[in-house]
Amino acid sequence: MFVIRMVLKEMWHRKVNVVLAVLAVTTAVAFSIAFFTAAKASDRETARLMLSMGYNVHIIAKDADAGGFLINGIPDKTMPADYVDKLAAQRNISYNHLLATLEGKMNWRGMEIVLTGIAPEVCPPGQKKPPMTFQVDPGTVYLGYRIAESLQVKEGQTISLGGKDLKVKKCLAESGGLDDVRMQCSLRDAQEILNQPGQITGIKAVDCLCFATGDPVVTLRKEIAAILPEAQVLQVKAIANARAKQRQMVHKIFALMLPFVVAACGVWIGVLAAMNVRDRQPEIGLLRALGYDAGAICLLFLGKAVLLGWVGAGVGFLLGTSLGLTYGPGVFEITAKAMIRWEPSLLVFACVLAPLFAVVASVIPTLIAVTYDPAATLREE
Amino acid sequence: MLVLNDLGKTYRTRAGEVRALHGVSLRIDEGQFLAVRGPSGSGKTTLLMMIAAMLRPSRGTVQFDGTDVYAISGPERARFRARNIGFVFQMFHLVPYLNVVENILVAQGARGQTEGARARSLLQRLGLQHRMYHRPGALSAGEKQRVAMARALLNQPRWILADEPTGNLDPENAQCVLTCLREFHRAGGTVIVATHSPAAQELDARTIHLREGMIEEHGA
Repeated sequence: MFVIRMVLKEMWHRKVNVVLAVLAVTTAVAFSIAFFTAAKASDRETARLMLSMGYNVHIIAKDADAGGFLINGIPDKTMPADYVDKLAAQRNISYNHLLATLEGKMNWRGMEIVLTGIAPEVCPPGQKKPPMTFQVDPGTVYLGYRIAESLQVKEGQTISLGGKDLKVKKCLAESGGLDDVRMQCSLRDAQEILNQPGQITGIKAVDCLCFATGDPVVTLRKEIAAILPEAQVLQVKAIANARAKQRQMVHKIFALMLPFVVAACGVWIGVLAAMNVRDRQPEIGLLRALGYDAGAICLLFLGKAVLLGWVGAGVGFLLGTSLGLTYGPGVFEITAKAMIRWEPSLLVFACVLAPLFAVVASVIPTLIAVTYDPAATLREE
Repeated sequence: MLVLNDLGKTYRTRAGEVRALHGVSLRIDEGQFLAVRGPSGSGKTTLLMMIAAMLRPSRGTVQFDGTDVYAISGPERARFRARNIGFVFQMFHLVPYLNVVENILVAQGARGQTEGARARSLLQRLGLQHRMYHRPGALSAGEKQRVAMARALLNQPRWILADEPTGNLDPENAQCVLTCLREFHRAGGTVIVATHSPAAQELDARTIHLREGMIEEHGA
């Protein structure tokens, strides 16, 4: 089509206008991609940082003494281990990272310790995420700092616990909490040692209610009661709130900054389009005089906007992702490698939204161009 | 046949109303060569624009073959212009980013299909075959006007309207443009030229003189 050829030739002719417009689209796309990537990485980073504070949801047996659990950190009743599978089988629920544990106090070499058996972490369908904690292989054990220090146990040694031999996989760093007197082994090993086959004392989880309205614990209890009426739910509010507030804050910052950047770029494109229309008044007058209708004039300007959008989308995607890959690891030290990567789906979004954005920004100048009176334009010349 | 009936145009400006054309009635038969003469500001360009279906009159009608061109819709009027009228302007109005061939083909762009071969043949006729792929910036004024002439001729219009086509040209190039218009006329086309060029006096044309928006006299 001749008009398309005109669009391409005009873009080649007015390079400065094109470069500035592409820069505006690129800025908007790069910021959007960088914000999106950073928000995602920030969410994950927050989750990982909060890991050191532990899971924020505890599901224990209904008849367990909740007060005793809060005092001792260990539930006094067990429940079937397959409860975790029931929870993990649910769709569209508000929790994730389900970790079944069996805990019990025992005496080992004259020292009172907590033995914790850990099952591999499971996620409900469609919510698969990297595990938040380490996985303990059967036959191995992780020792808390105090145990290793007091009893002079080293990594690689084999210890005997409740008649079972376990190899010390790791001696953990000092935590200043209960973990320092904890031995962590696989769930099956703990069930054997504590003589509780097929049993667990609790399920730890992380809620996904950072952006929900209302009291999250009410929502959680309602959901879990429907699946597991034989369980009770406790939420560690301090952890849950810290996690929710941190994530909300990051999202609020992005939600506030992004519209400003996008609006500024939109105005920038609009001004450039208006300048382009003004520069091309005689040409528009000529085309109208030669019988070009309003649609052709619109195509001349909006077609250019679409092309600018596509170029800006490509460059912006490359720039935004490159910025994320370059500076992300410095900001998100724990999760950058896993979370900041090339996302082709974002390029698809950019290729759809950036031309739309450029078209919207160019609409008013285009409408002005369409309404130019050819006689007035040509007479003025 | 073109019939102008009591044509008038008043522009509203900040300083007040300006009467550009007043009570112009004229009949131009197919195949005529009409020269519209008059001093600057006498309404020549306004008259041409109104005949070209580009400027709605404040009063009166412009009828081509019995059809009032301002009674039809805007898109229909645009199609009418593209089919029937070729323009030549004093300032050439070439598109700066298109080469010479493309500047000629612009006249057919509105139709969605272009005839490159015809454009090249017109350029050859006008002695511009060596300039086909140059941009307007590289052309002399005479060459630019010849390109504009080729553009006007591309669609084989019935009418050519030329507004001071020789106003910016040296005598040699002016003569070339007028020869081209004469050839179009001889081939059966209708030409209306607004001009005050001395060279135009040699045209064997019916002449009208405009003064202050009114026809002052009909010449031969």
